[in-house]
Amino acid sequence: MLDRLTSTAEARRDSALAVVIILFAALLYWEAFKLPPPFFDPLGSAAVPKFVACVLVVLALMLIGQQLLKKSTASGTPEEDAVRPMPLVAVGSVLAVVGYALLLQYDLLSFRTASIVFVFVLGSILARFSWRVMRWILPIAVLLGFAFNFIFTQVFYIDLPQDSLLQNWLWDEPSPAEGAENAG
Amino acid sequence: MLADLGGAFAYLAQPWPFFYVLLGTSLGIFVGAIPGLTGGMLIALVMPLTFYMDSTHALVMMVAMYVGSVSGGLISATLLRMPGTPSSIMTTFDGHPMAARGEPERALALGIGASLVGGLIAGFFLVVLSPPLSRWAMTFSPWEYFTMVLMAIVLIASISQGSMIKGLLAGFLGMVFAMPGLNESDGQLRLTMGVHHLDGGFNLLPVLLGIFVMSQIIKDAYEIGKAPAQLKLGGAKILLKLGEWKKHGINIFRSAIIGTWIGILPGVGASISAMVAYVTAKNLSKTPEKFGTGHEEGIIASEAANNANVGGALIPLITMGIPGSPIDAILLSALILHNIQPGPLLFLTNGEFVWALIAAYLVANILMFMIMTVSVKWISKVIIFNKAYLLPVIFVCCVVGAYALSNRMYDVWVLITFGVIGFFLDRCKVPLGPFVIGFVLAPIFEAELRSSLQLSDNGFLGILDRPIASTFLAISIAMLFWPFVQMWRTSKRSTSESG
Repeated sequence: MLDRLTSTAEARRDSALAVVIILFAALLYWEAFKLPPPFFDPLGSAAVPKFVACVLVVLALMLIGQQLLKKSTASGTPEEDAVRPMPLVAVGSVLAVVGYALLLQYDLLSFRTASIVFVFVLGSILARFSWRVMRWILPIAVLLGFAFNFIFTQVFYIDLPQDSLLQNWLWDEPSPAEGAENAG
Repeated sequence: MLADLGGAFAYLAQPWPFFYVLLGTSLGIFVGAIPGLTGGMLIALVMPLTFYMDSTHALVMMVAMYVGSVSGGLISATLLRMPGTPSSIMTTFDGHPMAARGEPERALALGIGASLVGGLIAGFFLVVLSPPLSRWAMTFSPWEYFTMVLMAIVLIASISQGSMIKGLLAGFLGMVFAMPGLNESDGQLRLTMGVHHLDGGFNLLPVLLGIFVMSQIIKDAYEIGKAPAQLKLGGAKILLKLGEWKKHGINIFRSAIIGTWIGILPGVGASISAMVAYVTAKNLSKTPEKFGTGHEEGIIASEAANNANVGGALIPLITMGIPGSPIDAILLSALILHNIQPGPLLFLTNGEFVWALIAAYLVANILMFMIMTVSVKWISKVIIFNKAYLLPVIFVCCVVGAYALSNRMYDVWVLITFGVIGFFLDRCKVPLGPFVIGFVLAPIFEAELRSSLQLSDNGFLGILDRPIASTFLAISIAMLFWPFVQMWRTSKRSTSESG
């Protein structure tokens, strides 16, 4: 039985998905179980989450059942992607976005500077560090950083992080907030 | 009706509204033509930028983007054999072979013309059916809404590409993520696991951006590979004589009807209507063996249906507040963000706004035809962007879009999380359309069920007192079990044949 569930890439993915869904549904049901019963409400806040959790478990089991009932291919040929996959590029992209978000979250760099760094780093990762592409990414990143900052703050009036602890430390300048305080 | 529509056209003839329709159509065509980018992504990205715009301007622009993006997918489907949008998958079967044998201009001309006619036929139904459907929907009780939402989730799961089980999984997973936060009925916080940020639940926009945009970008990064080979356009005109369309009249009309009516079905998108229209055209054709080799009928069926689907899908959105496709789910969230309450009362409370949307749809189809006929040669030269330049720009727009909602980095983290979740679901071949539909419809599902039970003396048996609700429920059950019945009949037939 275990062979059927792990014989092909699709079977392994579906089996893993089913296991994750069952665990997730169990967590969902447990959280819903802790909710108090309804008072004047015929449904309550727990009924629909519990129902959906049960449906998810049933569907996950059906997914496993589907794999078990599938006739196995003679050679168990692994799937071939039409394009050669680049998992490291994908992981690098996600890490770059997380890094960008952290820079903005902790005010390490202003939006403009963080965007320049991010566009350059991510562009380089996507170009797989090809110098032919990277030499254009830096000027594009600088241009986009300034352009985005202007467009989003001055045209669309979005209040983006402008403060930068790192820049202030590097150039020993007061932050805009401190500057306003000193001027006041 | 005609007076209202005339008033809407007069409104769109003003400089700013017309500009936004033109801008939306142009951007939609351009983005739809680029493989890996879709109309849904464009609309989701643009949505936070429209916060300070006039609501009508914002929504007409988004409807125009919707029309443009579905049509734009034709360009890359024909020249690159890569559908610019999922709705153009069927166009690759005949568009690219025709282009490869030296007739790319003819392939594009057929597709553009079919898109226009298909879109206008759906526009006719949009104008004629919307007011009476809206009045009919006003007679619905909570039971009708509950069963209609259930039907939408089951429909999109059963018709979505790939396994129906995975479609249902996606729909119900989407519902799960709509539940955390304050439950309106009793004021209880639920499913927050002690995380205070979750007290307000997951905001719709970061979830949409994550599922639709960021997951696609991660996928593009994963499959970054080489750029596809592109066929070049020659000097021939992208316009056919009127006489050349005569032989295709029935195919266009039939495909447009299929696209419109599949669009009306809640939750089902343009890719399904294109597929059904293509298969129908092939089955009814005198030369079915030519399909897949660059046959004109194949291009026309696919393009007429996918554009007609846009108009058809607007009907349930405008009349009942139920999205007719995953992209309509994004439009629904745009309505809510602009403080416009969707539902059957939309015609009563915002009649001018609704007619402006309908007129924008019609005008966008005409503009699409003009823009694509004139500029497709230029667009075809620029649609192959090196993704190293393009994807970081889109990432920044996603982050800003999520942040702009409430000026909180929490929404950015939600965006990133759902981007990763969407990528893994896609890798497991779980369709993302049902996920978004489930997320959007879950609050309606629970609220209508609660109202129904409160009004009913017999609990769930109250459904049986409502014929329309019972019909919707019967359709849902039938759609749920039909694939299993088909499987059983197929296995019985193969057993008896081998026996």
